[in-house]
Amino acid sequence: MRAKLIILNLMLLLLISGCWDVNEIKKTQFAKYITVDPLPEQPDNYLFSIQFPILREGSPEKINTLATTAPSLKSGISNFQTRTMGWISLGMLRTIIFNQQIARQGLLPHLDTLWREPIVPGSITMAICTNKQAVDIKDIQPAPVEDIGVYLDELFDTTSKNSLYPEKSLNDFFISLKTSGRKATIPLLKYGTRDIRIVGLALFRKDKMVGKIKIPETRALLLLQEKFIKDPIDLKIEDYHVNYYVQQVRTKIDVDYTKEHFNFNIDSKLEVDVTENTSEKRLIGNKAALNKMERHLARALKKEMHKLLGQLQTQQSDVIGLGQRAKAKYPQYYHKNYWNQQFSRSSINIEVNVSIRRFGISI
Amino acid sequence: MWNRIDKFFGISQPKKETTEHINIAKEKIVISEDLETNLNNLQANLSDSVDFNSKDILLGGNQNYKATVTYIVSIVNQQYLQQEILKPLMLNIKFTSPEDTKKNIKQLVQQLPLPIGQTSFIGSLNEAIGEILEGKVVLFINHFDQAFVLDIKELASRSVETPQIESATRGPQEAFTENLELNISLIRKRIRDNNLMIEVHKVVARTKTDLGVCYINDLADQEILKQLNNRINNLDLDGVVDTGYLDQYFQDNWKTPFPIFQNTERPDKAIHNLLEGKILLVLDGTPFVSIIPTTFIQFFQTPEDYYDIFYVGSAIRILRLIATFITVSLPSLYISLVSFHHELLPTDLALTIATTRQEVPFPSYLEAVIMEVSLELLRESGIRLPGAIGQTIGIVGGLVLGEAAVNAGLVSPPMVIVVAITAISSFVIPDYEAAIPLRLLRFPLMILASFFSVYGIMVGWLFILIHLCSLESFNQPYFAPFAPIKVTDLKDSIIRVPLRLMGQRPHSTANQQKDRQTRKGESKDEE
Amino acid sequence: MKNKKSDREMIANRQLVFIIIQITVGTGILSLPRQISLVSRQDSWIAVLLGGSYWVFSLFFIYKLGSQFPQQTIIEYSEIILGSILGKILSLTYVLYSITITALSVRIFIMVITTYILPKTPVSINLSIIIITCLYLISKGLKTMARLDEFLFFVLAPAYLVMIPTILKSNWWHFKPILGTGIKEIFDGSLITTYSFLGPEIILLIFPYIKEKKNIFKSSLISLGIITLTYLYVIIITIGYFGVETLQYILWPTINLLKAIKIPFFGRLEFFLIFLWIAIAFTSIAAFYYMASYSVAQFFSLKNKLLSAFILLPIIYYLFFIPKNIIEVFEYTEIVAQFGTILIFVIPPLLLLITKLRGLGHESQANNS
Repeated sequence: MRAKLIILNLMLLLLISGCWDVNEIKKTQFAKYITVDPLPEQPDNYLFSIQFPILREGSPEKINTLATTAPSLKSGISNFQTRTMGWISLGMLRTIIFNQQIARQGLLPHLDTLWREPIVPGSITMAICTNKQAVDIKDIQPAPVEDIGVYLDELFDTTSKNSLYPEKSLNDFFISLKTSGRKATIPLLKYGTRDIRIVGLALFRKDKMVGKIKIPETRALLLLQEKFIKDPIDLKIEDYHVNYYVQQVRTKIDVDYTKEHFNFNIDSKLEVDVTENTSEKRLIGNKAALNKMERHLARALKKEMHKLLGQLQTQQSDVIGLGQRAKAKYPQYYHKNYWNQQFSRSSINIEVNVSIRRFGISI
Repeated sequence: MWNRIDKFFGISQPKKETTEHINIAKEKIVISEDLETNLNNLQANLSDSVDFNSKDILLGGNQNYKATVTYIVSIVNQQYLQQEILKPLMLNIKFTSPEDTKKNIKQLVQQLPLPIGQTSFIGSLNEAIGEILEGKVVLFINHFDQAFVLDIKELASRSVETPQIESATRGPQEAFTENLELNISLIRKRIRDNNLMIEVHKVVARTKTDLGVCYINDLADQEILKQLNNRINNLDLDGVVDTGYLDQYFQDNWKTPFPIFQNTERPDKAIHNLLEGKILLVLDGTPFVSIIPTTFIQFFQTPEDYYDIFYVGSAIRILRLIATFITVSLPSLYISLVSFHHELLPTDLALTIATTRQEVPFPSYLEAVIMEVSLELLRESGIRLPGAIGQTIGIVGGLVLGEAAVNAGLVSPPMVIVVAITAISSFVIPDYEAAIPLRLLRFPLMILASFFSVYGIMVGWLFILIHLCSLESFNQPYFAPFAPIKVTDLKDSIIRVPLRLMGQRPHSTANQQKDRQTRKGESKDEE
Repeated sequence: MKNKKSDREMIANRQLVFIIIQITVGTGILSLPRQISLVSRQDSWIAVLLGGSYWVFSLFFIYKLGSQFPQQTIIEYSEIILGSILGKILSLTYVLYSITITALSVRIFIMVITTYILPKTPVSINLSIIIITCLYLISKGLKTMARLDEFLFFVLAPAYLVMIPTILKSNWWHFKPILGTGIKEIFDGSLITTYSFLGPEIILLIFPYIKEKKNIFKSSLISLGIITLTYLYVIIITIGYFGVETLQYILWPTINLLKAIKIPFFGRLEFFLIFLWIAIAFTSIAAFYYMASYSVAQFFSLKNKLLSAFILLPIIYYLFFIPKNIIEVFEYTEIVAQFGTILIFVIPPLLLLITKLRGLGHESQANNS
């Protein structure tokens, strides 16, 4: 009994000495996004900016944007900390935007602290700004909300789905970076005065940006990865427009190794609905018209895919992960260090099949 | 029976105490043939009480047959005594041979047409005192070394009413009362089985309370019964007013905050448990019947679960378990989320909470403790007040005070919501006794959470679970059927399967027969 | 101590299954995928199956040895078999082993807690909290531990279920080519699993308390099967999601896995996993601690297990602070694992052999009980 009392007293003593980790929510500032820009005059320093909402009611401004120059992201955050009241928490960080130049120099140094901190979510969206300094995001005044962090979040989550490659998070980048036979991608942004547009995808080799592809090629990439489903494709056939709604995609990629280089046979099968057809032709009972529409879409997609692969091969950036397939089937011929060259030399055949399942209730 | 009581006297009284009551009890006094001696002895023990009465009569009006009727006025039906006992005794006895008293008196009295069910002869004065105190009439006759006992006791009690504490929407609406015999009759009338056993023990030296032990002979586990008898015999108390006294003395682990026995005022619940092979403790003077042994999950079950269809019963049970979890850990979870791990909250929710908390002067753990304590204050004040005022307290406390506190910026609205949900959840737990410790447990958890966040909560829960796992009720695992796991019993724990699938009695507590119904009954069911 | 234990103290064979599972699956599960995939690469799942299968033999010998002395623990019968001096030395090694493994498990546990939940709280206080909880469980005895383990096994199942959403995002190319790493690597990888599989040797100590001694081997095989499947599941999911190369950069892949999942509303599943893992690790640590204190109690013939647990406290605190950093912790776990391999895979068969040669033991008693 006495032993228990002693333990109890010890416990109480321990407890009295303090709550070490208490971090009241009202004294916390939740950073929504971070931008990283180069400084031309100071090559060792970077320009960081951060934004968090001001929660106190009756304050004149709703958001607080800070910018600082620092040699690294963590030191930048420390700089911010000295200038804000309350603790800056990266637990709610949603987006990190890089300047294009930074991306070309390499992202690894800026991402390190984000990977190291357990508090940072792995689902942060990474993006690259193409037309302006990343920090200029603060000047954009999106129509629906004042808070650009919310706007960005919504943008990546709901709008412009078919132009956005799904693997855009910090975690995906990390995996693509560390896995051989696979390269990373990051969405490209273009700032407007009142909005932000997603314009394509940045291609990476290691952590350095080597090229970019536009939205149609992004779509082709999505189709190759079977990640593009339940979304519309718009196409101009002769003088009229057809809008297809993709229900299902099946893409088969075969590998074989002949004459010292890899051959990839890509066979893509799409099931689509027709949601719009501006020609006057009747579709009901008109098999030929349907066939024509199927053919056109197949041809257009094939062209897009060829264009994509051509670009990938010239940039030597295997973002599809063909290397993994090559490695799986022919580990003896796959060379981790030379895969970029092997990829650019390999030949790729593409076959696209489209079948229309439904075309609406009238006409 | 008498031996047992004697044993109690021996055990229960402290050695130094030497009042006359105990002396009498100790040295067994035989009823002497001399009426005067008997009366003197009686008077020595009982004369102090105002309501003790002894009336001298002459049997059959004959001067040779002096007799004395002794009883306690307050617990005997007086009218009955006068009309149906005194009158026949004084007028109707016909003596054939006046001299030969000793031989015939017993026969005569026995043959007397008295409309009384329970009569007996006893030989010791100690016994006589016991009977008098119980509310029986004892007749001493001169020159006769036995006393005649007539049971016409009439104790003050209320009639059978609807359950006050365990009200139910469905099922029988009778409740036990303070009267032991009435309670036993409520049980007896529902089970017409010759195996239903009711033993009545007189427990405790001073109050000599009747304790009925009720079980079904071929279902209840004999080992538990033996233990129960042991514990009843070893009971060392001054008085037993409620079954709560017994509970606390019969526990294996008296340091536990959890109730080890379930008390119920509903006969249907008691019957249900009897049929599962459990034992009932029916104490005279309290409307609550104890169920032995009890498992933890029983506190979350109500009779309606069995009366409604099994979907409803199961859904409500799951709801109760969720409510239990909320009661114990919602405030502590709130603390750990708001003071430690904001990133666990969804972004919008975190910002909303942060906005509402901007003006609140207290840190969240202090706020939570203050609010939870005031909730307990409210609840306690509401219980003690009479109905109408109690409601006012609820309104004043819940609505006015909460609203005012939020407007004054002393607490944040989310905290009020958390406290309200906790309060509501704690009232969902059907057993009031079980709800109290669970409600109190949230305070240590809140303290742990304010220091160690979710780590503290988990450690707190582990402490609770370890404790629950270690508890036993009459050597039967308390936390069954979860630990140890009894797969067959899980069908009547978190969920309740249809009655026709519950062909077996629970395995968690020992009982003699596993199958509930006979085969015949089952085939009848199928039609 | 030769008299039979009363029925009330006994634990059922079903409970033995859960005790073994809970003692084994604990701190190892967080880092196992990384450690094993370093060597066995994409074939780690074969390696873990292989690593589990070794234990069948050791469990068999442990069972056989135990049934020679059904009413005694290894601390007691090692003296009978080897004589008092050698026996004492052997008992002491078992005692040392169980203390070390307790301290190491606690160290890993506290590292995770300080990293993810309480970075600023002093380590010694976090340590004290878990140790106090362990002491409470030890004071309640084996029966309570058995019940708790049984209950928590089902309560903690969601910890594994939350990983399921990652399967959708898994890339199955990470596993190909199958058998591409070579037999030697798979074999080496299977040896790395040892630390994660340590625990079933608790049978050597609690053998006298198990009800049906005939079925102990069967029960322990069931638990071994469940343990192996758990590890297999975790390894397949983590390699499928991260790939072998990425895994090498992640300290605790099993937690990081959940960092990636974004489900609506509740964003941070990894904290949910850690929350449940606290209990998973606790059952393991407490069982090891129980093992240590029980063997110490037997070694010094102490009546009170709680007392011996208190005696062990300073030793555990001392051992806890020996490794400098996480790299050293993993080095120490490897050493302990090798030490354990000898104690578990070599000593029981040897003891059994000596028992047979010297004609000791009583097989018949085991059959009767």
